Amino acid sequence: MPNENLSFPIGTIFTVKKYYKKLSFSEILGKHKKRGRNINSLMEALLSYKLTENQSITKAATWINREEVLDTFNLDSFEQRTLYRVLKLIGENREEIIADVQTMIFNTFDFKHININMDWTSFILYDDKCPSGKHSYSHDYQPGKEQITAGISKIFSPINVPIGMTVHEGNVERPDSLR
Amino acid sequence: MIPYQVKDFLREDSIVVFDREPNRKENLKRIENSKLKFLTARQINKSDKST
Repeated sequence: MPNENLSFPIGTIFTVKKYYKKLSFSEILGKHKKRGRNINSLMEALLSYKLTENQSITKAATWINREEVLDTFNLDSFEQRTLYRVLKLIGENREEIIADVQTMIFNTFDFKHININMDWTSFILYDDKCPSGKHSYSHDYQPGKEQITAGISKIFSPINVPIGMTVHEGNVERPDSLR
Repeated sequence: MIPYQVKDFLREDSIVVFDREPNRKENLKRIENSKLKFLTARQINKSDKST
């Protein structure tokens, strides 16, 4: 029977809030946006969504813009473009943010080892608006599409904490991205 | 050789694991010069590259 019940994962939300506080994300992100909407409430909500359904930013905005979810994050309803603006701001300040997050992670946890896995993957872009998109060799047989390559480094098992991420134009040769 | 974001956090003798694409002489040399260890896959046949 259809009903008006609403479900969302409160456990995931508590976990996001706990680690957001533990790793001082409020200070790390808050310094980049002091006016307007609270960047930290929006990011807590977005992280909770991405750890739950992990679909588009448009769908994230719809997911968050429900009364009960908004209450959980002390947010007022907002327009979809607000999330894009926040992500743009984070992207513009990514170097400093990643460095701050890394420092916080290493100051918070006493890792028994710092052995890492590194890997890269390329993404096809179905639009030409991304400044980092570039035509290059396509493993997916789509030479007409622009691509970007993302690389990630993580401390390997049993720690499994990501500590670095890079984005390169096009489908770069992996060795060249190892700088 | 190692992404600049990560390099400062590695310890001497940290192990760096990666697949065979970056497994090139100059990259391995850079890792050794940084006093790190590595574990990687080796391309045995030319045809392996396309898989």
